[in-house]
Amino acid sequence: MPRLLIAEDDADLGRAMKRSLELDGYVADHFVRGDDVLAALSTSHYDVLLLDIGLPHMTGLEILSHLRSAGDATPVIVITALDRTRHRVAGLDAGADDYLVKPVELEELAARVRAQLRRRERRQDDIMSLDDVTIDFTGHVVSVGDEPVSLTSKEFRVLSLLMRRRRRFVSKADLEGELYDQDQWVESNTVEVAISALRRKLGRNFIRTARGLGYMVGGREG
Amino acid sequence: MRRSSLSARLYRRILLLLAGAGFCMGAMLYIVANREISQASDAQLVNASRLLYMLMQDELPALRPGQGLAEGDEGPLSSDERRAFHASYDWCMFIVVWDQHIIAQSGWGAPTRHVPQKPGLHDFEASGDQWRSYGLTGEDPRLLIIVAERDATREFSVVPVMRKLALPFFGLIGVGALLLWLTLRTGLSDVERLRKTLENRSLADLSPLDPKAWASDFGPLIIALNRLFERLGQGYEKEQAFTDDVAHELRTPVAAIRAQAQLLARAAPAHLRDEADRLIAIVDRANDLVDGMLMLARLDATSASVRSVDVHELVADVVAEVMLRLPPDMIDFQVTPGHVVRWRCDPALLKIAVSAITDNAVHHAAEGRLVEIDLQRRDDRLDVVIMDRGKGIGAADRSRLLKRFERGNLAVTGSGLGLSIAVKAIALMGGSIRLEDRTDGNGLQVRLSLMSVP
Repeated sequence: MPRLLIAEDDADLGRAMKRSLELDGYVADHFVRGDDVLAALSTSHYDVLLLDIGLPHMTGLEILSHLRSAGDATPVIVITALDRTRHRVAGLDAGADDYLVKPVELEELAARVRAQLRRRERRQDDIMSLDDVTIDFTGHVVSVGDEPVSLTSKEFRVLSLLMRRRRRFVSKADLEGELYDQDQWVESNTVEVAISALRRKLGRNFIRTARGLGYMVGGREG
Repeated sequence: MRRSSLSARLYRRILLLLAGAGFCMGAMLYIVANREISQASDAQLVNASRLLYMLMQDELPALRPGQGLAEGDEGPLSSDERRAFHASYDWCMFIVVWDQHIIAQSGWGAPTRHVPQKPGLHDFEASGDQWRSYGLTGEDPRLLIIVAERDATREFSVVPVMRKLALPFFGLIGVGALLLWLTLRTGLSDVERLRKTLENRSLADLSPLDPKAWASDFGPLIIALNRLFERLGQGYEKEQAFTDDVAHELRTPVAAIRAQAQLLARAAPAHLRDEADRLIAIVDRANDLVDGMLMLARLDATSASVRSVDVHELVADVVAEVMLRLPPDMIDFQVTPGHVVRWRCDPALLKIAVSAITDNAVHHAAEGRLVEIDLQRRDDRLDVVIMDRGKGIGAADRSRLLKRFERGNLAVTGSGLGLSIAVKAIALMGGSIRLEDRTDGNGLQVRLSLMSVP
C-alpha cells in the first residue's frame, strides 16, 4: 500500500487531506512542522510527499533542497497558496515534480498522486491517461478503463495528437496535417469522421469542440 | 486652477520686465529729446528775431519816438525783407514794437493783444493754441522785436521721429521676444525631459535616475526623486509581501473548509449531499473573491509589455481553460474568424481580460448556452467582442457594473470583480471596454478595444 507524507501547517486542511487520501486507500502521515517532516523522512520511507511551502521551523523549499541534495528522488508535489509564476518556478527548480495551488480539489489531488506513483514505476512518458482513457503511444494501444479499444490508424493518429496537446485546442488544419499521407489524399471530412468514431468508442464528451477553434481533450490526468 | 508652465511664467515675467524697462527708457528719451528740441526751437526763435533785427538795420535810424504804423506804411520792413524772413522762418509770426507802438507785424498768427510784449522767452495762449514767443530788445531799448511760433509746430517735429523709429523698434521687440523664448526653451529643455521621463515610467519602474545625466542644477531634485522612488519601492515590496501573505492566510483556511466540505459530500447520506455541494460552491465563491482581489492588487503594480501576439490562439487557450472547468455540453463556444489574428499587445494582460469577460459571459449565457467571441480587426484597432445570450444589461447599469463588487444579476454567482479586473488589464494596454446591446437579439456584448501601438 503506497505511503504518503503530508506536510501542511494548517491542521484542519492537513487532516482533511489525510482523511481523503486514506479513503482512497493510501497510508498517510500528517506533519505540521518542517523539522518534524525531515525527521520522519530520515527514519521512514514514503512513496510521495505532499509539501506545503510555508511550514514553521523549516520551509517546504528547504526540505526539498535538502532531499534532492542528499540524492533522494521521492516524488514531491508542492501544494501552496503562493501562486506567482516565480513561486512556481522556485518550487520546480528546487526539484518538485508537480505544483498545485490551494484550494485543491481532493479528487484532483488523488489523481496527481496516482500519476506520480505511475511515473515513478515507469519513469517514461509513452503512456498517458486522461479520465479513464489511456493511450500507449509506442504500443499503439488505447483502452477505456481496463477494456482495450480498437482504433483505425487515422483514429489513433488523431487521438495521439489530441492527447499530446491535451487541454489546448487543436485546429482541424493541424489534424489534417497529421493525417496527411503523400500517397493518399485526405478527404475533406476525414477529421470529422475520425472524431465521430473516437467519440463513439471513447465516450461522447471525451473530445470537446468549439466552432472556430477545433478539438480538445482535457479530462483529469492520472 | 491649473498653474501655467515654468517657462511660460518666466517668459511672461521677463517680457514684462523688458517692456517696463523699454517704456522707462523711451519716456526718458522722449523727455530728453523734447527738451533738446525745445531748446533748439527756442534758439531758432532767437535767431529769427535777430534776422528781423538785421533786416531792419537800415530803417532804424529813421524811427522817431511815439511813431506808430500809418496806413499803407511798410514800416521798418520792406516786402523783400519780409519775403527773406519768411523764406527762412515761414512758421514764425512777428511783431516789431517801437516805443510801445507796433510798427510792423507778420499779418498772421495770434492776435497781437495776446502776444507778451516783453523781452525774453514766454508762453501764451491765443485762440485755443499754445504759443512760444521771444522778445529781442534792440540797441535802442525802445525797439522790441517779438517772434512767436505754435507749440504744435514743435511737437510736430517729434512725431516723424517716432514714426521712423516705430518699425525698427517693434521689429526689434518681436525678434527679441522670439530669441528670449528660444533661449528659455533651450535653457529649460531639461525640465521637459524630466517631465517626459517621469510621465513615461510605469508604476512598477522605481529604478533611480542617474544624477550625471541631468544638469547640475537638477542635482537636489534628482536626489529627492530617487529618495522618493526608494521609499515607494520599499512600500511596494511591503505591499507585495502583504499581498502574498494575504493569499496564503486566506487561501489556506478556504482550502481547509473546501476539503472538509468535500469529505462531507463524500461521506454524507444522499439527502445531505446537495447541502455539502452548496457549501463547496460558497467556498469557491469566497476563493474567487480572494483571487480577484489579489489580481486587482497585482495589476496595480504591473506595466504592459507589448509584442506581436496571435490573439486567436490566446482566445483558444482561454476558451479551453473555461470549457474544462465546465461540465461537458453546458455551454457552446464559437470563435470567428477561425484563423490567426496577430496584434501587438501584452498577452498576459489580454488573457486576464478575455478570461474575466468570458467567465462573465458563461455565467450569463445559461439561457442561450452559446458564447460567441468575434475578433474584429480594423486599421487602427482590434476589437475582441464577447457575446452571450443572457438577459443583457440596461444602459443605466453599464457604467456601474464596471466598478468593483457590482453584479448585474444577483441570481448569478461571482466575485463581482471580473469586469473591473478586465477594465484595469485593458486600460494598462491603453485600450477600453464597452458594454453594448447585441444587434441580433437579446444578450450582452462586451467590446474590448485594443489600439494600434508601435
